[in-house]
Amino acid sequence: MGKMELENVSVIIPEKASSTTGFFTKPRKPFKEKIIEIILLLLTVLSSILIFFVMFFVISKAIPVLKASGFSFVFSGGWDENFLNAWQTSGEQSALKFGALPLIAGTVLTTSGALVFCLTFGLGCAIFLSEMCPAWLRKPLESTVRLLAAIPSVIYGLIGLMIVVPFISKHLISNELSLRMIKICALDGTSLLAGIIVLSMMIGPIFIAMASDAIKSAPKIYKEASLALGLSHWRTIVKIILPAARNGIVAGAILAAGRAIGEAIALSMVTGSVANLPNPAHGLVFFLEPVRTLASTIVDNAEGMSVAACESALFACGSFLLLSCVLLSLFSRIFSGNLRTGGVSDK
Amino acid sequence: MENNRCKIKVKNLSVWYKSFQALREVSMEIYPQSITGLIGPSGCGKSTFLRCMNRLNDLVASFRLEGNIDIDDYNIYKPETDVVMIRRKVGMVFQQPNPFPMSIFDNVAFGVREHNPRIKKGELEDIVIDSLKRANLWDEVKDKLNVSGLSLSGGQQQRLCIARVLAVSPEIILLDEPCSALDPVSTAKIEELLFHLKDSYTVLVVTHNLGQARRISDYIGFFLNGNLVEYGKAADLVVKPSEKSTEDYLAGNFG
Ligand SMILES: Nc1ncnc2c1ncn2[C@@H]1O[C@H](COP(=O)(O)OP(=O)(O)OP(=O)(O)O)[C@@H](O)[C@H]1O
Ligand SMILES: [Mg+2]
Repeated sequence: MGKMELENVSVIIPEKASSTTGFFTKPRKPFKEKIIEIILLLLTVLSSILIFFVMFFVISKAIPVLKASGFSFVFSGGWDENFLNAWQTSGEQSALKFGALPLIAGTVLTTSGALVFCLTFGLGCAIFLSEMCPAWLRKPLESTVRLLAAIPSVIYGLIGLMIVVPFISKHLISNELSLRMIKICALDGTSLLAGIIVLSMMIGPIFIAMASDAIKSAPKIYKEASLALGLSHWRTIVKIILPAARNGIVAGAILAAGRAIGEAIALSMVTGSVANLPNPAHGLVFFLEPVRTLASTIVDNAEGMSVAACESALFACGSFLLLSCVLLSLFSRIFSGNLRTGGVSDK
Repeated sequence: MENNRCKIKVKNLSVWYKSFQALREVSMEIYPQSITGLIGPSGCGKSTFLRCMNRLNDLVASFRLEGNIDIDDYNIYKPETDVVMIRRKVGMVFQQPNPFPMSIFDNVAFGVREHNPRIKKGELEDIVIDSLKRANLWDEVKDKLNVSGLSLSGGQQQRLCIARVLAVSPEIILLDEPCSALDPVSTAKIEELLFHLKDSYTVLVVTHNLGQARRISDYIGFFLNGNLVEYGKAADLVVKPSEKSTEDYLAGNFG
């Protein structure tokens, strides 16, 4: 402490000042601050290097399969047969062809289903929590939501396995329905629907917590101005508060989507773990068909890692997951950038 | 002393925030086609009083009120009152200019569109232009109606907020220290426009600026510690206040 004071003072003591330092010269940064700055800089550089290293590693491992499969990796199915084939022939060139369409579809379907839930029911909860909830109820509800957001996903997987899946199989799947579908896939309750429900339970609280924070931090002066103009509370929420909170709500949705895309264990517990492409032509049965996501595939098929072709196929899944992360963060960048120039500011 | 019927009749108004009493048995009659200035030291309850008039205090959870406020002989704190209708009749301009983050045009059109969603485009434009003119802002913004309201200067923003209120044609306009964030030139502009407004509206202005209160008000009410100490014609109250505390305040001895 004393040392720092001395250093600051030294700038203004005339006889100590050299010809280039004067009253307006910035004081010299203390040694300690410099060191800390350098360490922080190094850490930042190190972590960005690490990210690039991870990407490089994953993609380079994925290249054999991606190269052999080409676009059919994205546009064709048959993953489970491909995988079995690669496992049995252990590494022939022909075994490098994989079709991951069902996995990609599984990921997109479960995530977007859960996002739809967030942006409807979840947004409603957030609005209630931040704008309509009576004061005595708000604190307990908020802590509950935060607690729910912190529960490890495997717990949600267990709940899904013990409650959601049996419920679906008992109440939504009749014997004749499963007979009718038996050629295509087994309907036992583990399904796209169960995946969406479990994912929604998992990312709903995260979204609600973030969205209600965003709504609460929408400037109060806008709300008062709108109410004073004779708008009802509800119209004020729709026309003034939600637009002002849009940035934060989108950020919440993106974070939630990120977690949903990367979720492996809970989903592999409840979606049936079959690389099946649900067919919309089946009608609502679509939601009762089993699926598997990219992330669950990496977990479920991990025992195949010892075979080079299988390993490469799993890394190909991984590289798609990485790609979706990059896209999400790009998306959030673009969106918040748009808002800043679009006139809606925070204060 | 009045031929005019009073527009707002406040009777025995007491207000609490939790257990803290912010207003004590305030009674006051406010007349139409006039400007009523509210003065008093900081924390004496002026804003609280003003926010009772459009029930904006309902937002404060700990707020509690006793007494009556009759607007056109209707007690606005009756349980079955529709606050939205009250607020359409009673417009408010805030201390901090708070235009919405939208274009100048939309700021003024916002309330009109909400109250009358099927309004014709031409009609809406007429209302917006007329409101901007009456708020003395038209000449400065007529070429940039699509620019964000936030890009205006503080004084312009405040006049935009006044235009926004005028557009929904209230009968009463409340202004809570509308000039305290503004420079003298902007203040003069707003004073001038208020002066014109009083022909058509009942205007209530809270102000910290005694000179301003003197210049624009027809009636002045002096608040102290939640009490309405003195209320009367501006000329009388300023020249010969009947209470010692009013005299002290006018002399600049406190507040
Ligand atoms: N939301 C609130 N919750 C609790 N107390 C409040 C609240 N608003 C105002 N008060 C209290 O009520 C009293 C009157 O406040 P008010 O804002 O009406 O004063 P004012 O006369 O407008 O002062 P100023 O000139 O500084 O704006 C103050 O003591 C204030 O602390
Ligand atoms: Mg005030």
